[in-house]
Amino acid sequence: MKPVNKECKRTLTQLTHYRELKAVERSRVDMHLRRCDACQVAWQGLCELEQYPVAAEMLSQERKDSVYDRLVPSIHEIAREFSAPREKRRFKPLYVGGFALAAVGAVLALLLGFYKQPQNHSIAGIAVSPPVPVHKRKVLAGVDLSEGHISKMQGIVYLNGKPFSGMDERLILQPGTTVSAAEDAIINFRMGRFVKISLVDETSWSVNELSSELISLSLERGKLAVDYDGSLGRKMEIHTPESTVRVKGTIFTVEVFGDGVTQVSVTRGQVEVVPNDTTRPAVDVAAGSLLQVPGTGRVVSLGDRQRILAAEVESISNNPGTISGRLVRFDGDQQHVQVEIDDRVVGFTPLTLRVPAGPVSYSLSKPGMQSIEAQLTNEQVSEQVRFTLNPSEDYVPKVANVGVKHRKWKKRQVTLNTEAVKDEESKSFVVRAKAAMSAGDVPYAARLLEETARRVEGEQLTTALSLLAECYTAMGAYEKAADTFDKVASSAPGTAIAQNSKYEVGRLAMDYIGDYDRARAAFTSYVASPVVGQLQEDAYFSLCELYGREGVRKNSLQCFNEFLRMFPDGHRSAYAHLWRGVLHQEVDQQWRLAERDLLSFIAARPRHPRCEEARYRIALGRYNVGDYIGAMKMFQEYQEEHPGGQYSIRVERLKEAIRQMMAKRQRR
Amino acid sequence: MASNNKKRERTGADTSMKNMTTGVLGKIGVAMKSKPESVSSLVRRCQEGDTFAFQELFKRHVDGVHRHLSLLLGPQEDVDDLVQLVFLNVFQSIRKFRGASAFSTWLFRITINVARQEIRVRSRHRRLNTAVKEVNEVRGTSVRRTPESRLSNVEEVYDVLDRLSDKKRETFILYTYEGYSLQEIAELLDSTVSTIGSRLQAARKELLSHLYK
Repeated sequence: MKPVNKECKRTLTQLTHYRELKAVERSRVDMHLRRCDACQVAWQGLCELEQYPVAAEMLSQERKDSVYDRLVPSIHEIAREFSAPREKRRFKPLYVGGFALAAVGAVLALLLGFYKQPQNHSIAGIAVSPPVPVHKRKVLAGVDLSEGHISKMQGIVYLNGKPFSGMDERLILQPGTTVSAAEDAIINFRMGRFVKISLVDETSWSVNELSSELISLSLERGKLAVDYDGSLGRKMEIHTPESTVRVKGTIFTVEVFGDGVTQVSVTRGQVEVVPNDTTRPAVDVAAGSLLQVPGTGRVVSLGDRQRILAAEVESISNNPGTISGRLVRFDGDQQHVQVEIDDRVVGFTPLTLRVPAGPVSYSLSKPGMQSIEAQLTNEQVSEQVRFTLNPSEDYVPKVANVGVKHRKWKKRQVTLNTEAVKDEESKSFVVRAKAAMSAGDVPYAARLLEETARRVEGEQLTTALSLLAECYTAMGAYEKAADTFDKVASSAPGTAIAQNSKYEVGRLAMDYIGDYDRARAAFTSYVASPVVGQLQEDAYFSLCELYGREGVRKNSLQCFNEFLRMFPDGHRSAYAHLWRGVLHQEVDQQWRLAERDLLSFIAARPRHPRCEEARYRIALGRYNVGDYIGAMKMFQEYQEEHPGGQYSIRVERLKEAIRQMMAKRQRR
Repeated sequence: MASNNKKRERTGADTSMKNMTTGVLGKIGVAMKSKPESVSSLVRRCQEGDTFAFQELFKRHVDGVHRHLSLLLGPQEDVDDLVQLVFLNVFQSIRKFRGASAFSTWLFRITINVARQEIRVRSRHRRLNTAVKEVNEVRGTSVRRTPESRLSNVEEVYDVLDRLSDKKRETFILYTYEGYSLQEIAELLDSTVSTIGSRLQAARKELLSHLYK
């Protein structure tokens, strides 16, 4: 609860620096505290909070040892990385003395070493425990293989056959654990610091063994991408129905198709594929190659699809505190633009990925658009790449895409590019604009259509303007879109197209521009027109809704009454009932009429989210007319249908009020 | 309250460390009474991959890291794991430490980052718990606490503190429970004294509003 009194508010502000207050101010505050219980309670609470003996318990020696013991494996792994050769130092004569001393020390150390008793590597009081199998050791998340850390999860994923929410971003992995991804689902996770796995689209995967010597996994079906660092000497195997894939440090993908065929592709490093059919030899698959088992046994070059799949595992982010590099987001005016980092396809925009520190070259490309090649030099932790691709000079590919299958479009493209475009220039503009729209290149389509609108007239002009208005709407230029729709309506008066355009003007003005007068004029013109368009009901409904939004509720109520008389079984009638029910309650407090309308809305759309409001309003109406039993029933129904709904607290309060009233009545 | 402002003993060279062994002789177990090795020297050795130096740094700073984490996060079971994570992060990024600030300040910043990360992970569960509590209060299943029983245990103290934003919470805890001065907090959190001062006041004001009945 917040202080409402001005004096209380001022006191509370002063209490934040009570000790720094001057004597006069302090005495004023004290006086207020004596008078005002609420401020007194708050002040006491803060003092209590500040004086609470919060103290951290001491870490015992055993616990310290235990923490350090658990750190040891990771420390040694990291120290190995440090041992990479560093910059050579110049020899200086001054060091001679130091070396001599070190040599004497070393000799002394060796001599003493002979007399040293065998010990368990005890260093400065902390014992380094002997190696224990990884899966039995309680180690850090960064090292523990039995704990998968999820970095990306989309779609439905099952863990041991049950739907998996991934709430805590962790995945407990043990021998026998099965993870399945449903259609179009993706799950990216890392096991320890050295294995990154991505399961994509209808994949079933299970763990056979996790130990310090071997990681053994099974892929029953689907696609799997793995990035494995085998520098620790641990072996990794993936079993498929047709083969076993053995690996030592690489990035590769494995796919098992419906007929059991296994496809292995390697992006980095090398893997050995051993067919289960022992008569066939094992095959080494090198980077950039792909092998199918069973098949010819020949290795072919790698396609883009596998590269993209492999890129999934590379985009798995590690612990931000322990990884170098930065997050970069690629987003631009065009969607689905292919992003390549260092000449490797990494995905399509909008895309966020982690790139290594230092300058990184990237290229952005999309068919029919000019590619962008640039370099990221910014060393910030995260950055955003915003771009706009310009259409390439010979912009034709999407023309061929209209109604033509992918494989045939090249032939069609040649034809259109040479003769048809020259002969029917304006027509070609419209066709190209449609193609550009279907490809998502709306600004370019708009430019073409603007050009067309200047050249043509009659029916062609109407078509071009309609398309242009759609482009403007898609681009978010709603004013321009509404103006263009107006032009369409005036270019073909008395036609269905003109009617539809009026409706569009109304919707744009009402929903996006906020010009209610214009919207009202458009809807009224539509409704009053003798030409009956397909959107008659929608226009009428929108007009009624508009009155409601404007705050002219009486007009809105009358309009909805008229609407429901004209379209009693229309597709908008359920919503009209809801509107009318609310208006009955708020305009003339006709609770019973409102209830009837609200009930018919619930009956017509029982799953609609606004049923919650309808139920609450029905109960409120019953409460207002004194039908407490009915209200309680409806409140009960509300709580059953919408547990934790937005009106829950109000419902509880009203229920409490009814209970008190009933109790009073009984007492009387 | 004045007693709370009294500074508690900070992390530093443990007195028992004064008798530790150093150098080549020390490594092979020959006791040699000498000054403890300086932190900068240990850090340099650590940067070259010397795990013994890291162990020494661990021994010197583990208590401080543990205390910071315990106070920043409140009572919880897995503080040891977080201590471990802090030191793992320290060792992984020790090569990036250029000595621009004191090692203890750098370590503290890593500690605070780990604590923030942990708070973020737990925030969802906290919000859920708060929502459940509120619903229970509305339903009348839980008795409204009186001011006397408001802070009956340390969990409740942290329940109240959890309502503050990360920065205000850290500032309040460091000033009130750890006894740091505004200047020290500003240095630790890489901010200015005036910012820290106003953050502390804002934290108090927010707490007062929450405690207002």
